[in-house]
Amino acid sequence: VGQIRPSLMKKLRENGREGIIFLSFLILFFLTILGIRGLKIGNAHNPGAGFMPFWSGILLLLLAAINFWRSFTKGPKDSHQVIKPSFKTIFVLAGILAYIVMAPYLGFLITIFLLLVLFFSLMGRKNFSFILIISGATAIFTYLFFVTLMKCQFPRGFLGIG
Amino acid sequence: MDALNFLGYGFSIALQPINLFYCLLGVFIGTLTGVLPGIGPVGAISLLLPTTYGISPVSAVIMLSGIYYGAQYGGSTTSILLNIPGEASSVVTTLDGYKMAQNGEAGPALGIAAFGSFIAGTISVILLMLLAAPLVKVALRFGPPEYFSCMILGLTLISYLTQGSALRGFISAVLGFILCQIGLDVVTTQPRMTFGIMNLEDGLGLVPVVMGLFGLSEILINLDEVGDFEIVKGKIKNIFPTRKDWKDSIGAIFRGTLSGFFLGILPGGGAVIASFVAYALEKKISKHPEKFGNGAIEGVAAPESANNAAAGGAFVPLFTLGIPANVAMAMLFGALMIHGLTPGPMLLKDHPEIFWGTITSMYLGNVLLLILNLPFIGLWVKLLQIPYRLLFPFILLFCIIGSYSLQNSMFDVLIMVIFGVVGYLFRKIGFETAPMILSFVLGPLLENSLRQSLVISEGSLLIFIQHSISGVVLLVAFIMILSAVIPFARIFALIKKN
Repeated sequence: VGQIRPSLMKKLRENGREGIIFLSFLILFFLTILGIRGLKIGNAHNPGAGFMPFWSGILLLLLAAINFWRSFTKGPKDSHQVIKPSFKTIFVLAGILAYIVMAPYLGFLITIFLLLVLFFSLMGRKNFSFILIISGATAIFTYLFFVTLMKCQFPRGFLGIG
Repeated sequence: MDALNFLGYGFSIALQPINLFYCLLGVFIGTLTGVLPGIGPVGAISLLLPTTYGISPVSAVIMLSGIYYGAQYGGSTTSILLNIPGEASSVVTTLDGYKMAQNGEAGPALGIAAFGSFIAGTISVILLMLLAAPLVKVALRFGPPEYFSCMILGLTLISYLTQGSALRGFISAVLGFILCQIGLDVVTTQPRMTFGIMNLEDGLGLVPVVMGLFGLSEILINLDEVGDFEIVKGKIKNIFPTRKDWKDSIGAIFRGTLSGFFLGILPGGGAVIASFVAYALEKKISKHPEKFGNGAIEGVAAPESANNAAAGGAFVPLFTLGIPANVAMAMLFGALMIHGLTPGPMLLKDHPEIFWGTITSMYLGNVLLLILNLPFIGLWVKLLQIPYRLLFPFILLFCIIGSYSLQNSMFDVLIMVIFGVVGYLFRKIGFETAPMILSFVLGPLLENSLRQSLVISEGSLLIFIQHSISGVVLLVAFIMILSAVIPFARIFALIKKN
C-alpha cells in the first residue's frame, strides 16, 4: 500500500488537469439533468421532451469518464498547453462584457468608440491621438454602414443615437 | 442533355449582374480571409451571414460559397511568403512553398499554386455537377432511419478524423448535440435547459456560437502568442510557370485534384487531410523524394490543388444528402435554413436555381480567383504588411456586430463571449470544436429523424438495422466509435505478449 500510494499521488498530480476536465463535464451533466427537471423522459416507444437530453447527458458522462480513465493508463496528453491568459486576453473579454452592460445606457456609438480605444491601446499603439482618430472613424463608419445600409438597430442610449 | 440544359439554366442565374457581383465579393473576401492569418472562412461566413438576410437566397449562397473556396486560394500566399499558413489546409504548402520563396522562386510558387487551384477548382465543379444529380436520385429514396444513420456516420467520421484524440472528438460532438437541444421542444413545446431565461427559449443562435468558437477564441489564442511576421524580401517575378514548371507539376495537379475531391466528400475529410494526403502521395511516387521539403514545385502544386478540389467535393454531401461535411458547410447549411430552404435532395427538385446557380457561379468564381490571385498578387502582399495587431480590433468589432445584428440582442453577444472562452479553453486542453459545431447544426435533424423512425417502428430500435443501408452505415459508425473507445491495438499487443 505504501508503494501504491506515492505512485497514485504522482498520477493524480500529473493528471490534475484531466480531473478538472472530468469535473467540468460532470457539472455539465448535472446541469443537463437539472435543465430537464420536471420533463417526461419516456422511452423508445414514447419519447418525452427530456428523452434526448437525458440520454445524451449520460453518453457525455460516460465518454468523459473513459477519457479520464485513459489519462491514467496512458499518461497526460502532450497536446495540453498552459492555460495562462495574458492580460490582453482578460482585458479584451472584460471590455466586451463592459460593452454588453454599458451599450443600452450609453448607446452603440459611444460604447463602440470606447471599446475600440481600449482594443487599439491594448495592441501596443503608443500614439494616443492616432488611437482616438482611428477609433472614432471606425465607430462612425461602422454606424453608418450597418444602420443606414444594413438597417441594423443598435442600442440608442441616453443620446438617442443608435 | 439534361445536365447541359441545367448548366445553361445555372449560367443564366450566375451571370445576372447582381449574382456576379456577390460572386466577386465572396471570392474577394475569401481570398482576403485566406491571406490574412487570424480569421478563416468559417469566421468570415459567420460574420457575413447576418448581412445576407436582405438579399436573395441564391445570391447569399453564391457569396458564402465564394468565401469558402476563395479562402483555399488565398491561404497559399501566406504559406509561401510568410511560412505561416493562412488556412489549416495550406499548412503543408509551407514545407516547399516557403523554401521556394527563400530560394528566390516566390513567383513560380505563387503562380503554380494559383493555376493548380484553378484547374482543381474547375475539375471539382465538373465532378460535383456529374455526381450530385445521380446521388440526389438515390437520396430521394432515403427515409428517416437512413438519414439518422447517415448523420451518425457523418458525425462519427468528423470526430474520428479530428486532430488529436478521437474520443475527445466524440465528447465534443455529444456536447454540441446537448447544446442544440436548449430551447423549446419541437414536439411538446416544453422548454428544455432554459433555466427560466427567456432568451434561451429560441435556442442558442448558430452565428454567436460559431463566432465565439471560431472568431473570438482565435483572437484570444493569438493575443497570448502574437508576434509580427517576417515576410520574404525581394520582388515577386516570373509568376507564370515555365514549361519545365508545368511538366513537373501537371501530374501532381491532377492527382491532387482527384484525391482531394473524393476526400472532400467525406465528412471530416476536408481540405486539410486532402492536402496532406496529396503531398504524401507525391513524395511517395516521386523519383526524387529528397527534393521535397527543399523547394519542390510538386510539393506546392499537389496540396494546393487538393485543398481546392476538396472544397468542391464538400458540396456533394450538403446538396445531395443535406449533411455538411465540415464547419464551413455547416454554416452554409445554416444560411440555407435561415432563408427557409432545407438542404438535401429536395433542394435540387424544389429550388434548382440554388443548386445550379451555385455550381455555375463556382466556374465563374474560379476564373475570378485566377484574376485576383495573379495580376493582383502585389495587393495581397501589401496587405500582409499590415501589422497583425491592427487587425484584431476590426475582427473583434465584426464579431460583436455580427452576433448582435442577428436578433438585435445583447444576449447573443454574451453567448459569443461565453463560447469564445469555451473555444479558447478547448484549444488549450486539446479538444476540437469542429465536431461540436457540426452536431450543433445537425442535432435538430438528428433528433427529428430518430423520433420519426421510432414512430414508424412503434418504438423498435431494430428499424435502424432492418433497413439495409441504415444497418451498414450504422455498423461502420459503431466500429469507428468502438475503436476510439476501446484501445484494441493495446489489447492485441498485450495478448501477443502473454
